[in-house]
Amino acid sequence: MKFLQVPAGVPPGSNYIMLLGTLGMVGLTIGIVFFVVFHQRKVTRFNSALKKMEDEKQQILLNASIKFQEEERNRIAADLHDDVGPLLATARLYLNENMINQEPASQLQSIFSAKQIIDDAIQLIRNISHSMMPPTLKNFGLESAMSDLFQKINGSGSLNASVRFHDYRTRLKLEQELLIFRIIQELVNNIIKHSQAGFIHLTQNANATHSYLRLHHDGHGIIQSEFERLNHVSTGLGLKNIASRIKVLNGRIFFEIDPSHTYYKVTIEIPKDSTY
Amino acid sequence: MKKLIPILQILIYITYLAEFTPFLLCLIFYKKIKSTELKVFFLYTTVFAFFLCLSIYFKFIFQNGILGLLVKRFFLVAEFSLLSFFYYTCVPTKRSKIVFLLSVISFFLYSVYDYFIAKPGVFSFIPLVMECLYFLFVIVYFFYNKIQNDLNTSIYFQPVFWISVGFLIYFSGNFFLFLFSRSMINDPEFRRQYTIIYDTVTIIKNIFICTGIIVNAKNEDHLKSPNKNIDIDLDIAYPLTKNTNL
Repeated sequence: MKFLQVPAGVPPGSNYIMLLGTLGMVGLTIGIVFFVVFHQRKVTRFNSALKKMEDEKQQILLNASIKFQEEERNRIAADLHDDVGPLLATARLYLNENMINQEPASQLQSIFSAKQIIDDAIQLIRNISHSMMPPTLKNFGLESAMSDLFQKINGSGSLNASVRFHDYRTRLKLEQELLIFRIIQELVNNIIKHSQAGFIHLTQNANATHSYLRLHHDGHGIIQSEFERLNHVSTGLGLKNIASRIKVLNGRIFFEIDPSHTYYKVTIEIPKDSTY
Repeated sequence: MKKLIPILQILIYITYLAEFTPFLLCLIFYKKIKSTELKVFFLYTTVFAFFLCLSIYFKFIFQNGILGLLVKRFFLVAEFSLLSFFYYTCVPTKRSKIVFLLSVISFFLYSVYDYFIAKPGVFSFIPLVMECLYFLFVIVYFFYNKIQNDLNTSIYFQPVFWISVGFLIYFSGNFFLFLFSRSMINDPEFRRQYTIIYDTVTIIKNIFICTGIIVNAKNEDHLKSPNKNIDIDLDIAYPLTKNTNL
């Protein structure tokens, strides 16, 4: 084994230094490996917990959306059954077989009454259909639909409501507009129901990438942390519907109170190039 | 001291056996080696086994130290290149891939230079020390990269982790040994220590590498049978599976 022979002297204590160095290096290596394993485990656990929370939130939102759909269907079914059904049944009564034996004046009266009832039924069906998709929104866009909604609120006399659209030259897609309309409608309903506000004002503005809508009101409102909390509890559908619609729009929503504590603000941010 | 010699001999034989084991395991689980990095690693174990056979031949049968030395030099360059290629496939950043490429070229050039400047018949430990230092940095960087980017699956389910742990222990355990070997290899006490440390660390390295290969085989088994937990025959309830003319 000549190849291992190196012509050099052996410094005293070198063996111990070499041994200590080797032990130190191996110790350091084991330390690094343990650090990597524990750190990675910690981060993986944190990530999986985060994912679980996100999944739970998604599940709550999905449940809320399904529940909302069911409620909407029940409402439409109830409207059709309770209002349209009796109207058409009454119209049928007027137009029964005995009508042919009646006098012409009575026949005419029956036909007129039946026509009146059928007109009422048509109006009712139209109302149901409008509550599903407001015709103003479909034909004239979000700005007009909002003005319409706020005028109706103003007309009630209990609340001072106003709208101002600053930059809405290009309309969003109809599906986006409908979602935004529903969000604002839900927010306004909540304000009317819970906040005891005296005024409510909607402002719209936009920049190159996003469109913004802000609701101001002077009643009792909520802030972002309360919104997040209410969004995670299983009761209450309205806020969850808002959250799920915002998610569909790829947007964001902020609940704030003015620094002077005189009014609350709800700001909605919608990307203009949303893929929805 | 004399009683220790047979034990050292046994340790040396166990080390030879341990050195071949990863190659044998790779052959056994050949069909389960599907990822690029493990294919590269299989190539490494094959080359390693080939050079080990050559080394044993020159040491015990042909007994030619000069040729044995040359084989060791070739093996060192091959090992450096293949291990760099292995980490080249493991670390996804473009910058690190360029570094791996440059390192292989530099190491090759230095090895050629070292061959000419080294005294004939004397083993040069400097390339070995350089290799140790280089791979210590590479493996630590690999772990850092894993911590930063790969957070979905537990690291100990990845075969590359076990292989890297094996190499990390091997290079860190041998670093001081190779560093001191240049001046102390003639000291009998040092040579005894050299054998004990080198062989122990090599056995540990190969245990970790084998663990990695087995982990890979188990992962592949698990992937093959995703419905392993369903232990009932779901088709038995389906009336049209048998005796049907439809």
